[in-house]
Amino acid sequence: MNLLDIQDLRTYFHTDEGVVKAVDDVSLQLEEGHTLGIVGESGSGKSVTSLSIMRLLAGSAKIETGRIAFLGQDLVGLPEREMRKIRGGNISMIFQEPMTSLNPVFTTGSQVVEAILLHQDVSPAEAREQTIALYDEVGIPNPQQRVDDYPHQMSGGQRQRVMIAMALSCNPKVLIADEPTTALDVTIQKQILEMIRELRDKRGMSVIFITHDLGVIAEIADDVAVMFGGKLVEYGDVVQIFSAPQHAYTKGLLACRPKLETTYRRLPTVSDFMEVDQSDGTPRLIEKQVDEATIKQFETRGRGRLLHPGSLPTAATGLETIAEENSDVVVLPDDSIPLLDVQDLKVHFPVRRGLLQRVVGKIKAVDGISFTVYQGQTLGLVGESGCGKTTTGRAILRLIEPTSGKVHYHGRDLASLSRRKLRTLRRQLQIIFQDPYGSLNPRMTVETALVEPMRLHAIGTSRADRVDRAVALLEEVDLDAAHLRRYPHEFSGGQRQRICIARALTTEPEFLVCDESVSALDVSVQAQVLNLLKDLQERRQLTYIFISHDLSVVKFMSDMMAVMNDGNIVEFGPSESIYANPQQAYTQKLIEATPNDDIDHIRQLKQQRLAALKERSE
Amino acid sequence: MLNYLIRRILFGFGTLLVITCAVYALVRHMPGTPLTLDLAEMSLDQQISSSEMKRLERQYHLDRPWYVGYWLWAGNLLHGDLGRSIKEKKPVSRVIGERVPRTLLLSGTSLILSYVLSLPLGLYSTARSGRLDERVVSTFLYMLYAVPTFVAGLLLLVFFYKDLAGTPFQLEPGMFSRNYSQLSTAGQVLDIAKHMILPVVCFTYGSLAYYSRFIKSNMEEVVRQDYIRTAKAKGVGPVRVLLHHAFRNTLIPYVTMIGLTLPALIGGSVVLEYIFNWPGMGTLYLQALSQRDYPVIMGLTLMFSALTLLGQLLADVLYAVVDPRISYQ
Amino acid sequence: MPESPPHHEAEPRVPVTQSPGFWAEVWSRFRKQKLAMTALLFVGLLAILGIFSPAIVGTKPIVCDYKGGLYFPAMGYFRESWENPIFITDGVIYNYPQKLKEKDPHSWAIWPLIYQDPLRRVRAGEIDGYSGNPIGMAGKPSRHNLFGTNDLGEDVFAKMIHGTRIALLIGFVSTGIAAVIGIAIGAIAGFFGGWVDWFLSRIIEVMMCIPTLVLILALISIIEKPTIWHLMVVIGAFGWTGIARLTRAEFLKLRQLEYVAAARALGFRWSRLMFRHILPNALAPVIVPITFGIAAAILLETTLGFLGIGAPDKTSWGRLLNEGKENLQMWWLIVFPGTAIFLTVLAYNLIGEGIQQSTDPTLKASKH
Repeated sequence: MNLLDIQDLRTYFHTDEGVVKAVDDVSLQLEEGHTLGIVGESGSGKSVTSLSIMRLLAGSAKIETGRIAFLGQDLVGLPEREMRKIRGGNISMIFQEPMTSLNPVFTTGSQVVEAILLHQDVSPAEAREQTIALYDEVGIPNPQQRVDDYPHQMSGGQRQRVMIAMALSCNPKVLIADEPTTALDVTIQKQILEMIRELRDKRGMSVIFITHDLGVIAEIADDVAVMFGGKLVEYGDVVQIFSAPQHAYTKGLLACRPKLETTYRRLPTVSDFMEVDQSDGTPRLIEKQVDEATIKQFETRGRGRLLHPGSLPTAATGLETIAEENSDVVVLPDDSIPLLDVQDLKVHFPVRRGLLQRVVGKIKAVDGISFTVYQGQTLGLVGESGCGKTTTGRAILRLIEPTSGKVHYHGRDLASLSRRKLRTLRRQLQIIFQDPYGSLNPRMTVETALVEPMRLHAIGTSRADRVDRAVALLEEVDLDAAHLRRYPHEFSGGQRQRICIARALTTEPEFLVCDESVSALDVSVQAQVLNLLKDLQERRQLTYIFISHDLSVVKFMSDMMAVMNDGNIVEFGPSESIYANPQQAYTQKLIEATPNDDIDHIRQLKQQRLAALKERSE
Repeated sequence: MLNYLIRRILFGFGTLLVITCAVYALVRHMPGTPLTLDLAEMSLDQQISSSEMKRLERQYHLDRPWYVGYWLWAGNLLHGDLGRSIKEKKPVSRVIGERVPRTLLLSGTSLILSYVLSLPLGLYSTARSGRLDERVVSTFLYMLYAVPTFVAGLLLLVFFYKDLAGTPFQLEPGMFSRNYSQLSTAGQVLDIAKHMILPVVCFTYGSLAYYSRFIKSNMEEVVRQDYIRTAKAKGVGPVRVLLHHAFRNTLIPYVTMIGLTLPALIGGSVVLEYIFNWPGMGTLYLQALSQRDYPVIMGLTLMFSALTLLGQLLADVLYAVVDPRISYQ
Repeated sequence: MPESPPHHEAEPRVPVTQSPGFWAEVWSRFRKQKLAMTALLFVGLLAILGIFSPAIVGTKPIVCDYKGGLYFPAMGYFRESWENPIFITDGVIYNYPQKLKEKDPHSWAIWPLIYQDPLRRVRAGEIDGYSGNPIGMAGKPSRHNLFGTNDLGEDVFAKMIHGTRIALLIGFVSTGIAAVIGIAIGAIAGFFGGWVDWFLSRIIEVMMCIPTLVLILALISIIEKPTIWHLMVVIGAFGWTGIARLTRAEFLKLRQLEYVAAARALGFRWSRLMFRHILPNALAPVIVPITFGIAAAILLETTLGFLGIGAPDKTSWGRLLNEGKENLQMWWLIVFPGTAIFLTVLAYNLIGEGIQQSTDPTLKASKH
């Protein structure tokens, strides 16, 4: 018998604007000891499905019809009292945001103890012992002391481990993990995934793992369910899904992720594989035929790599093979002058303590980095949170004041310019931020947002002229003139990011810093925006610094790459070389931590899982 | 946490300094001095000689500019000497001293009642949010909050004092009945308690309404937080979610708010004492203002401010206790 | 975690008309709230009563033709000098109905709706068959005196209608002053941060620690002849702290947002950033305490009037209550002004809540 049997589930939201079918006729099964991965983008209904299982739906959401059978018993109609016994006991759940998922006023240990005391008949002292053992099991050092720590005294990764300890405390049969690693650094993500795998195998637990990241699914799932628009579009074994996807959406989703080994110069997007037709109200998916020629195009459209002088492709750098296939790798001549020359840049923040707020130390966000960027290139800055990459990007633009160092742009040192001179230079250097929702002033129409900077820098001859230019910019980023008089809240995340790009282009800059500009977007939208950025670069001769924590994205976008850690550049070189032949241990760690969706790797993991399962049942 | 408290205390002293200085400056610029007012009231044969006048002026520092006068006053203060009341001819500390406990009795009781009662009321509103009984109570409290204290006080007096005159249910203003001194100790206590009923009710209802509504709206926000979802996912029941998980987090802004609303409440006690003829600091203040009795005015301002600041300090301490992010840094 | 209804990342179809701005949307949301709209109408009614008070109740004609000239004696209620001195020299001023006809038989006048005076007792002979306003305990509400009279025989209804002017004026002007000070200080503190913020925050803290009533009493006592304008300035000067704190918090929050950084990167100066980019976004939450502040200012003024301190305007609602305190048997002196104050405060509170709901619809509680 299946552990969990979901049949024809429909969960709808009843809002003022109408009914939203968050989950629309979904049927899934979870076998004992297996891991089901549910993958989809935002709005696909994957989270709502899991909340429906736990009956934790809030607000206007209701399970309209359907059956959710847990060990044969239907959960949908279960009285609340009975459901509470199951929650945390037989079925546990962990969530995405470790920073806010723990109650800040109680110690972490007491919160785990509470879970234990709810479902097990033990004394508080015994519960505490169990908690300490659990902390040890999930890899929290010094469990005896940590049990009495408050959440704000722990890091994000550690808090997530506490959440896992709490979820495991009563030996659940099913663990539902809703994007548990999305908010974590990639190296921490790897550790957490490994831990979940271990614990699952050891305890014979079944897992429902929800994520938008197909790479993570490859690492952890047995069966995969792909969701789009509340519906289940494909459902099957993990090897089959990755090797031979059936549905257009799955194909699109798999294709649009920049893989580390990719040779694409432009990314395929979901809309290359299918079309969504909303003309009669309900969305219909129409598949498109994608042939070999179209795929080949992705590898050849656009320019090849543009490398620093002196970085010859040699066998050791792995660029040889690529250089053979298309000789579009260009190495700049040795006498080229860099557009941007950063020398020994330092950004330190003082730490104040005590009664009189004396400076007791420094946070060295950026601790002496140097690099150059040439015109037309993209330099990638990659690293985990806290490595200083964002600070670097902002310091170059002097949005944060550098503590010391030089930033030569066209030969002039930005770091020491007066405010007035800097202002005129600001035209040339622009920045696109991460959060599409915070990047646009909610009270300004798109038109105002685009026209105002033009007015400031005296671009355009009259208001009408400026509006015309704004329209041209919108069209350049694949938007419409009709969008001018709208407000930001009427647009989706991807559209807003395009508006931000258009805004950055109003001053006709030469140089653009992309600070995690695609990190907050869904993967299919991300592909579109990345393609757009590349098109714009070639059309306008732009130079980019591309900052991201996602190694695959940075490698895809950048000609040269700088790996940062702890305020320093750990490794610098052509992106392909760094990937093929990482010199530093940290770089290697970063590469290894990136989820791997290679078919052989998937098959291997699956074998391991089945072996562990067999062992347990013997 | 110790650093935090020391900073708050130092800051409190600074504030006291600023307030008393400002009041002294203001008061010295008031038209008329206590002596001229005195003169106006006295009959011709009681006129003081001009040398006597000068002596009095010197004694009360009226012959010096205001900032010197303030400096001298502050200096005396550090010795514990608040000066002598010009009107009463008694040391200010004695004049104020007998009033302070009476005001504290009234305001203290009211404050504690409102803080304590608003908690269950607020929790009840949250738990039964949206149901008919809660909506009725909420609406009633809301309307109550809009009734100004003095209006309520007067209406209560009209009813309980005038309309019920002659009945055993009559409640009269003031603190003591006429036959107070003849009562036994128990009788005296009861007498004061009886006189306290109306003022305390008046003082409490407004704060009660405000605080309970605050708790309700804050709880509603807390309940939407992620950690509440986690608690439910663990299988915690609705009662415990509310009382244990949510409420504990509401306490933090609640305690902050207590500190913030304290100054207004202290000010409100002045009005209240005036309505009910309660012989406390408030009525003395109004009296002293009209009589230009500088030492008393200064002494009272000091007392008022000190009480306010003390209350806020207590709130700060409570806040540090209640929020582990402050205590464990 | 509000369970928001998901939407697909497929591009939404965008209609071609200009979309309504923020405030237009706020207004349409506000309109749907019945209580708040009723409260707004009530305040509107009060404003009308205040503006037209001389036309509603008074002993001076609204307009009259006297000795060949057209005059507006009722304007004298707004400002004494606006009542033409000819009426004083001719001795008409204290008894228009009789004296007007006496001095000039060809005169005509348009009278206010109700013949009573807020500033003096109406005596015998002014109205046909009326022996004048009763005094003291006899002054219960009656046909001639809808809300009764006070100890001196002055009509309470007239006082209250004319007192509406003061109440609303005090409310708006003092809160206006407080808002300007508060927003300015809060904005500067929140925007610049650093030691500017530290310094201004300390000032705000000190002001908040002061028992305001105590200090206001002292302040008003200095002024020899306090007028309402003094009162308004004083109340405004003490009422800005709440607004400042909120503005500061908003600026601190908004300053971190990326559209501000983007504007900086585009080269805008700090003044433009503050006024054009941040302030419009910060205003919405600040409107709420401003609205509550109006109620508080009205309450403060009536309290001062009640204590006997403050503007000696005879029409202040607070003054009426003060007279009521001394004469508890004359319940009409307490009930009518008390109800008026209560309703006004209630109205402003409701409006404030309505605005709060309209500007931040996410505040609506979700039912768990």
